[in-house]
Amino acid sequence: MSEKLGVYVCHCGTNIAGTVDVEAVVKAALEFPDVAVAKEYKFMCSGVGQEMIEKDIRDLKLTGLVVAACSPHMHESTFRAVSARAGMNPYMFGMCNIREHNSWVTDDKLAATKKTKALISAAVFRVRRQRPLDPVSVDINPATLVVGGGIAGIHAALEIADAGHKVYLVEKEPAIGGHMSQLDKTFPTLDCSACILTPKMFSSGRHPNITLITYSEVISVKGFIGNYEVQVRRKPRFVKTELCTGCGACQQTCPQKVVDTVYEAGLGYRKAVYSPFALAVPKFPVIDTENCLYFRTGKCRICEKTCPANAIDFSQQENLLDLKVGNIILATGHNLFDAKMIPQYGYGRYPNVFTSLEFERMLSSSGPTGGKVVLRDGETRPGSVGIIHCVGSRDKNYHEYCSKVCCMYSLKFASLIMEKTGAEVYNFYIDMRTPGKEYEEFYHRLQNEGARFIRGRVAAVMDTPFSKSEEDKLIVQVEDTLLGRQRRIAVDMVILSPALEPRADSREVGKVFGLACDASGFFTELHPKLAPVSTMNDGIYVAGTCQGPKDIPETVAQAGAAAARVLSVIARGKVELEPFKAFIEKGSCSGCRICNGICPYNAISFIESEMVSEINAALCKGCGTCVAACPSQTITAGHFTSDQIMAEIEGILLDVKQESNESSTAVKGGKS
Amino acid sequence: MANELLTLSNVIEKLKENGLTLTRRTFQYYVQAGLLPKGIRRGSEKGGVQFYYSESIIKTIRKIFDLKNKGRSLNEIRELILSEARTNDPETAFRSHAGSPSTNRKQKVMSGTNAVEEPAGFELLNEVMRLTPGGDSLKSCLQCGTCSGSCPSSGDMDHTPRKLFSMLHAGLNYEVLSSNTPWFCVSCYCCTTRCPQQIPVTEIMYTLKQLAVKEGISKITDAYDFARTFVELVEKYGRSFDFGLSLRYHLTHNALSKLSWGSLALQMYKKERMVTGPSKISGIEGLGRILRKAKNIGGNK
Amino acid sequence: MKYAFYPGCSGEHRASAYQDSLELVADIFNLELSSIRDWNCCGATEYLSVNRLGAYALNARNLALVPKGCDQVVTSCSACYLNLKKTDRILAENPDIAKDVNAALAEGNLSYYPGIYNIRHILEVFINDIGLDLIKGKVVLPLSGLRVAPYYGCMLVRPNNGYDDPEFPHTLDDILSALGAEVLAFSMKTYCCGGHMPQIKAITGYELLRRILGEAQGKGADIIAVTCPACQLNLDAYQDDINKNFGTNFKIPVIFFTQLMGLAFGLERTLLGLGKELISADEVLSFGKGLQRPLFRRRVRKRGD
Repeated sequence: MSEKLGVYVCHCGTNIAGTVDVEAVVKAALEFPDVAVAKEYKFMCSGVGQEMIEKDIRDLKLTGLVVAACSPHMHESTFRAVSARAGMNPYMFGMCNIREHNSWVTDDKLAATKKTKALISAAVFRVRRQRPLDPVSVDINPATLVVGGGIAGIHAALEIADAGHKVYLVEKEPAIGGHMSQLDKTFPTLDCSACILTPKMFSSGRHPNITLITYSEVISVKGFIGNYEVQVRRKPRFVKTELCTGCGACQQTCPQKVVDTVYEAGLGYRKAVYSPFALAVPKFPVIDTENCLYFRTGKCRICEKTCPANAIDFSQQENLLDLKVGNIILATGHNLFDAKMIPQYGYGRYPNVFTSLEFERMLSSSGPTGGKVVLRDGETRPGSVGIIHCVGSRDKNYHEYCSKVCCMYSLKFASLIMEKTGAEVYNFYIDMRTPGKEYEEFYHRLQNEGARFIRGRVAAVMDTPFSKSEEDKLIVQVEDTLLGRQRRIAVDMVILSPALEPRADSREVGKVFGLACDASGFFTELHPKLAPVSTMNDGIYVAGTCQGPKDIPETVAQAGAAAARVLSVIARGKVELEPFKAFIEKGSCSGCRICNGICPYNAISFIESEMVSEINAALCKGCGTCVAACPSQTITAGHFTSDQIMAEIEGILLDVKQESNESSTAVKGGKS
Repeated sequence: MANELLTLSNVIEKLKENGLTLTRRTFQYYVQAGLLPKGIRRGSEKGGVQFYYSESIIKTIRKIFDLKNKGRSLNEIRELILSEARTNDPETAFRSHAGSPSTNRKQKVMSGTNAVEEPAGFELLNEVMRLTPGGDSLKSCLQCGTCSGSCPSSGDMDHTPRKLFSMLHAGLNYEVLSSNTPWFCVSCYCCTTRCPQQIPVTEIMYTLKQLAVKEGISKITDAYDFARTFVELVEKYGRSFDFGLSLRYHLTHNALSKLSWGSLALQMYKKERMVTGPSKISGIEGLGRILRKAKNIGGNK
Repeated sequence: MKYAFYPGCSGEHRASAYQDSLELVADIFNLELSSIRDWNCCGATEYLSVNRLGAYALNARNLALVPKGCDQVVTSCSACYLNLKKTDRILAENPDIAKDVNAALAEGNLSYYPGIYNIRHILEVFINDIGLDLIKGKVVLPLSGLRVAPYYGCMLVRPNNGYDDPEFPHTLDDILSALGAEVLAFSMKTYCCGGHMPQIKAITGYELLRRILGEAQGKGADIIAVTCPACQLNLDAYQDDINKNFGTNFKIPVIFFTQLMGLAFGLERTLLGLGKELISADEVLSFGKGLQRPLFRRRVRKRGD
C-alpha cells in the first residue's frame, strides 16, 4: 500500500522552533517511508499554512497528511477540514503533538529534536495504515420526552412545544407542578408561587403539542440520539379521564382519610381517592390502592356511587406505553434531607420542630392550617420562632455541599412569620448566602423588619429547662460566635432548613437513561461550566435540581438551555456520529458474548439466529473496552486497529531500531 | 533581687507599713492564679513547714494593686506581669524556650494598650495538627461554633473552643497555651461528634494541655495539679489511688473550703468504697521503664 | 464465649457494687469474664492531659497482657472503654505512633499489634451476645412500676461506638424495658456528668449534675440507672451539696444497671452491692413501695446456685 504522504512541521512562532531544530526534522522526515513532501511553516494553522497544505494535496495528489504542531484538542478539526476541502478523506490525517508534549516541557534542544523525529515517524507509520472513514449520519425524530413535571420540566416542554414540536411530559405524581406547587411565596419578591406557576401548568395541559402522561414512570430507554424507544408504565387511576369533569365529589364523599406525606409534607390529610391539590393539572383524581377501603377490604365504592359522571372504574389495569422520541430531558427534581438523621435537632421527637417543607404548607392559604402559623396542636400561635440554617448541608457527616436556597427561604420565613404573627424570629446561620439578583437587598429588608440574627451553627435543640424561664419551651443551644459566648434561646417553635438531596432513586433512574451520578447522587453534567445541561449521552439532557441544588430562576434558565439544545438538534434534522466505531468480524465471532455485558453504552447485542454479536454503530462510542476484552481479537476499533497501533509503536522506536542495528552489542535474537 | 526571704506574715506586715491591705486568702489566691510566684518551702524549727518569699514580691504586689486600680482584670494583670518577668528574669516559673514552636520572643503585649504586635506564625497551629491524630482537619475549621455551642463547660472557659481555634489560626500562641479552655474540657466528645468538618476537637484539647505542660505554662487552673497528682500516683503504683489523690490534692488546694470532702470521704470509707492504702501492680518496675521510655521518645524531660 | 475482662481501678472499691453485680449477672448467662493479669490503670482523662505517648503506652500495656487465643476485651467502665478503644484505633491508623509505643513496651518485654481485639463495653455484650430475649427470659421479679431514668453518660456513646446512636441511644433503655421497668424519655441521658470537674471546680461540676438531676426529677424518675463508675459517684455523692448551693431538693438514688438486672433476676440484694450507694435505694427498690408486689413467691438465689 504505497501511499503519498505529506508531512508539515509547524514552528508555532518560537513555541516549537525555539527548542526544536525544525530544519533537521523536515530533512529527517523526507527519509521516512512513503513521504512525498515535507515542509515547515511558522504558523501552520494560519490561512497561508492551510492553503499551502491544501494546494499540495491537490497538486501532488497526496493520499495522507501528517501535521506536527500543537495538541489535537486545538487543531485536529482544523486540519481535517483542510483535508476535506482538498478532496482527501479527513480520516487520512494524523496530528502529532510536538508542543505540549515536547517543546513546552523541556529546554533540552537535542532531546526535543530527537523526540520530534520519533513522534513524526510514529505518525507517518500510523497514517500509512489508516483507512478512509465516513461519519455515520442518522435522522432525528423531532418528538421529545421530558421526564418530570416540575417547573423545569414544564418550562422546557413549553419552550419546545411553542417552537412547533411534539413533547411527551411524563410525571410520576397524579398531577404536574412539582415542589414549586407546594410553596407559598417565592423569594426575593415574595410572589405567590401558585400565581406564577399555574398559568404555565395550564398552558402545558392545554398545549396542542404537549401530551401529559401523569401517574406514570419511564421504565426503559433504548436507542441513541434522534432515535429513542421509551417504555412508560402508566399506573391505573381507576378514573375514566374521558368522562371525569374534575368536580371533586368523589373526594368529598370518600370516608378514608390518609396522611398526605407527599404534597402536604405529612402536615395534612387527603382522601384515598385524591387529586394532589385544588386546580391540579390534569384535573383527574387517582385512587391510592394502598389506602382505599375497597382495595383493602372489598367494601365501600362510595365514590363510584356518588360520581355524577360515572367516571370511576375499579377494573382499570396498569398499561405500558411505547414512545418514540429523538431527545430526552430529565427534570426529576430533588428530595428534602431527612432531618431525623440529626437527632439533636429534635425533629420527630419534639412536636414543635418543623421542616421547611412542612412550614411552607403551613404558610400556604390553601394548606392544612389555612395559612395560619400555629404550633403542632393546630391552635397556639408561637410567640418566638427559631429558624436553623444548614441542617445536613455543609456537613461532612451528611452532605458536604451548600444547598444554595436555604438562606434565602429562611429569610423569607422570617419575614412571613413576623408579618403573620408578630413573633420574635431568630435566624441561626453560619454564613448568609445571598448571591442572586436582589437577594442581598432582601437580607437587608429582613434586618430592617427586625429579624434577629445569631451567627452560630446550632449545637442542639433541647426540651430540658436549665432555669425557670426555659420551662415549656424549646431551647436552641448555640454559640453566638460574634459574641464568643454560648447562648440558650428559648422559643416556641423551631423550623429546620434541611439540605436539598437527590431523589432516593436517582441512581436507579440514572441507569435507565444511562446517566452517571456524582458522589452525592445528582446527575453528572457533561461539563460543569461549559455544558451544564448536556450529559455524556448525546440526546439526553438534565435540567433543574436533579443536577444540583438551585433556585427557581436558575432552574428555569437550565430548562430553557436544555430546550434550546434539543431544538438545535431537531433543527439540524440529522446528527453525525464520529466513525470511530468498533466492528465485529462476524466470521471470526465465536458467540461467547463477553463483549455484550461490558459495553458501557449497551451498544452490543447478540443475534440469536446467527449466534454472533453485533455492534450498533450509532450507539458505539469507540471506547475500546470490547476490543480489549474479546478473547479472539475479533473486534476491531475503527481508526484504532491493532495494526495501526503497532505501526505507531514501530515508528516511535525507529531510531532505536537503527541504533541497535548499528551497535555491535545488539541484543541477540531481540525483535526490533 | 533582694536576698532576704520573708514569710507570708512578714509580707503582709510590710505592706501594711506602706498603707496597703492584703489578706492571707487573697495572697494565696494570687499565687494560685499565677500572679505571684510560689514560695520556697522550708522546714521550721517548731516543726511543720513554712513558705518563704523573696523581697521583690512586695514590688510585684504593689504593681498588682496599681493595675487593679486602673481597672485591669486579673487575666490582663497576669499577662503584663508575665511578659515583664520573661524579659527581666529567666528564673521565673514561666519558662520560654528559645526557638520553641509555641512561644516567640517577638511577641509582646504593649502595656497600656491591648494591641498585640506581630503575632507569631503558624508554628503552634502546625505543631498541634501534627501531634493530634486526625488533627490536619483543623485547617478546615469553618468557625461555625458547633463545638462551643455543644460544650457543657464553655461558660467557665476564657475562650470558647471555636475562639481558641481562631486564635490558633491567628498565631496568638501564648494566649492559646495560657488559656484555661482545654483544662475545663470534660472530654464529653459532643464537639467531636457534631463538628461538620470532623475535627477531633477533644483530642486537640488534650494536645494543647500537653503542650502547655511542656512549655511550663500550666499554672492556669487546679486541673493541672490534679492531673499531675493522679499521674504521679499511677506511675508509683500502676493503679489510681482515690484516697491518696484526694489527700494530696485537696489539702494543697483550698483545704479550708473542702470540709465537705472530709464528710464525703468518711461516708465512702464506711461503705467500703474507699480504702486508705494503695493497690500496687506486680509489674510496676516494668511499667516504670515503659513510661520513661515513652516520655523520652515523645520528647519530655 | 471467653472474654478478657478489664476491671478498671474503680471496680475494686469505689464501684465495687458494679463489679459484684456484674459478676453475679455474668454467672447467670455463663459469660466467662477472666480478668487480665496484672492490668494497670487506663489513665482516665488525666494521663493524656500530661503526656500523649505515655498515655498510649499505658493502655497498650493492658492490651499486650491479654492472653493469647482471646480476642474479646470487655470492660465495664466507660472511660476505660473509651481509652482502650481509642488507643487501639489510633495505633492501628498511625503506624509511626504504634512503632514508638512498641519501642516503649519493649522496655517491659511486651509488644502490641493493634486491630486484633474487639474492645467492648459490657452493656453491648448483653445486647448483642446475650440478647434481649434471653435477658427477658431470666426475669423472675419484673421491675414493674419502677420509673427509671436511663443514664448513659458521654464516653460510652461518643465519639461513635458503632452500635448505638451518640445523641439518643436506646440500648440501655431496651435492657431496662426487658427487666419490666418503666423507662422514662430522659432527654439528658448523654449529658456529661462532669467527670473530674467536681474536684477541680466544684460549682461547675455541681451545675452540670444539677441539670441532669433536674431533668430526672422533672420526668418523675424514681431511680437513675448508670453504666459508668464516675457517673455513679458524681450523681450519687453530691446531691446534698447541690441542694445547698442551688436550693433544690434532690434525693434520687443512683445505681448500676447490672444491679437492677440482678434484682430482676431474683439475686440477693447485698450480694449485688445494694446499700453501697450513698443515697439509699432501699425504699425505692422495695416491693410494695417502688416496685409492685410480685404475683409469685420470691426466690432468693444464693451464690453457688
